[in-house]
Amino acid sequence: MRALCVAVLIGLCATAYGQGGAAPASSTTPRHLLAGVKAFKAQHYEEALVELRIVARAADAPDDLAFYLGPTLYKLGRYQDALGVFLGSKASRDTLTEFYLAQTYYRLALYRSARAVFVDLRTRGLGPALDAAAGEYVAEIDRGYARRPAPVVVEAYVAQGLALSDARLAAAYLDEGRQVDELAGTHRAEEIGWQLAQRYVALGDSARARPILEPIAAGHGAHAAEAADMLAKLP
Amino acid sequence: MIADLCTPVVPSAPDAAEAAEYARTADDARTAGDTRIALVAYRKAAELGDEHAVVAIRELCALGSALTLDDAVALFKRGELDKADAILATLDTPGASFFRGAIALRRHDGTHAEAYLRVAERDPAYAGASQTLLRIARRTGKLEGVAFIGGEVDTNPHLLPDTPPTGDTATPATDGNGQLAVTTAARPWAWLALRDALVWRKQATQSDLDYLGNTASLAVEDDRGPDHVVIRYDFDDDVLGGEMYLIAHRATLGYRRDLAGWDVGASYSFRVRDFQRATEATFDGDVHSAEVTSTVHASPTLDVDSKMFGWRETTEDPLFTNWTVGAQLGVRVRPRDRVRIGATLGSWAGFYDGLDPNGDARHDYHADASGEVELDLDDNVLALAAVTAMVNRSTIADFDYWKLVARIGLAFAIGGP
Repeated sequence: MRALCVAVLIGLCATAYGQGGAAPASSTTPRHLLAGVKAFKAQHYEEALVELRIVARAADAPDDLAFYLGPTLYKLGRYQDALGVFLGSKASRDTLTEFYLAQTYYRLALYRSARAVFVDLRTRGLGPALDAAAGEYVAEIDRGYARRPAPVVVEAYVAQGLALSDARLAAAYLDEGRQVDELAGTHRAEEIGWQLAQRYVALGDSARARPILEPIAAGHGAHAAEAADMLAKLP
Repeated sequence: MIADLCTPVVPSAPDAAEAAEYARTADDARTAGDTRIALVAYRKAAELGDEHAVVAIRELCALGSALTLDDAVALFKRGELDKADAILATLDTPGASFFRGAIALRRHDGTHAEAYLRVAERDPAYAGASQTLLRIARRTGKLEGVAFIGGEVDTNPHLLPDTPPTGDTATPATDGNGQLAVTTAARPWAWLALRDALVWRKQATQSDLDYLGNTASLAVEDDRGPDHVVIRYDFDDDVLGGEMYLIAHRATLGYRRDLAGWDVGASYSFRVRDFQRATEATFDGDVHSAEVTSTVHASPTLDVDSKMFGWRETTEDPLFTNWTVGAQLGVRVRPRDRVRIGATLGSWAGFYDGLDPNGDARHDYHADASGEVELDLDDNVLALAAVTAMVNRSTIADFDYWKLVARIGLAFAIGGP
């Protein structure tokens, strides 16, 4: 499966680089992007990361840099960095990037999030090899969650989310904690939701913050008034 | 490790602008503590003629290898605890805390183990394993105690501990008993262990077999690296049916080597037994024992033990003086977080100096099997259930016997600091 991912990635990179040829002739960005892709293809992932970091700094960096940078970080085992790149990208993700995102969630033990992406990918349609691989991941996660998770699992995700200073990563862990809370029946939805909503607001993601804040504001919990106040300030 | 990035740089055509891009990327990585990426980028800059990069490479390489969690874990698996701990101390990650906790446990340092594991359990990847070790940490320390209360059904209680079988054992009479066992251990220094194990067994009907056994031990241990050496002395004084039964001394020299995923060991012990009652005086004598052991850590939840052993037992009556060789295979499984299961299967053959009724040398064949389940009910409370079965076949019919023991009970374990 890995070989397939690399092959597909390189094929798409070559296409992307062809489109990148339209960049100003004075820019070194296409050269570094191509060097990064070549290094990735040769499995020289550290070298690829150096090249792609130079690209990331450039004013004419492609919007879909996450497509290259995320898998490189994933290959280097820098899963939190990879997740930050995938989630921080404003470009719409293609199938392969989504697959890498799901694998990154899985490597970070964010299993519910990984499962959601794998299931969505399979619903939208994957090639036979990736579909089989996604199916194996989903089955593996379902086996792990065949029994009700222990409260300590929820606590671990929440603690990790609260400890992370990067709001995007913190939100990923808190969201996982919220999903596992539903399965564990630990009834911490409001507490976790309040923390999660604050991260979404910090990221300027009102669309995600609003549906979490609304039930908290409508309730009688400890954060009802603060949630209502925050809702009122959302754009 | 960074040795592969500290080889000489081969220069190419100078390009100051490009070199500056790589040098800037390298500086950012170096500031973030990302040594390998910094070196990869500095090497690119140095190839393109950046002098600052050449100096930076020299500095980073002079600092030596950037050791990682994987390096520390590899050392931990080989038993190099001091070296592993030194690396882990430089890594501020949940994984490093988890393995520092595991190392503290190996050193019987329950307080530090709990502190490290509390940090590690906040990471989902280590939460489950940390919870398991935290329970052990609360039973571990320089002072440790275990109290067991339970009962067993024994089909052949006449088969006494540490005593050759007599003719009584060929016609067994089942009896039940209640048991209380208390084990305490102290480790005032890492190299010294003091231990005392007291067992009291009260028979339901055969009160002449009521047993009170005590074993006091003093051990000098070297556990600092992959080679483990122990020199131990044990003193036993046992009471049977209200009378002094056995006084025994044992000296043991043991060695174990931790390899990655595999431990091998060997030991020799010399035991002197002095039975106090006239009925067992014929068993007085010495036992020289030796064994070679192996444990394969097949997976995080499965250990496979095997050992070959032999002994020379001398008694006053040559009918009980023997050479014995045997082997045992065991597995230890942790199928669930709070459950541990162990099972063994063993056999030995004994060749005796005394003669059987046909005038031939007596020889015995023995087989035994056991199974045990431990369930953590709480941090300090365990439920235990065990079954042991054994059978002995001898060229002298009086020494044929079988025995089945089923035991159940609760244990309370505590340790600290």
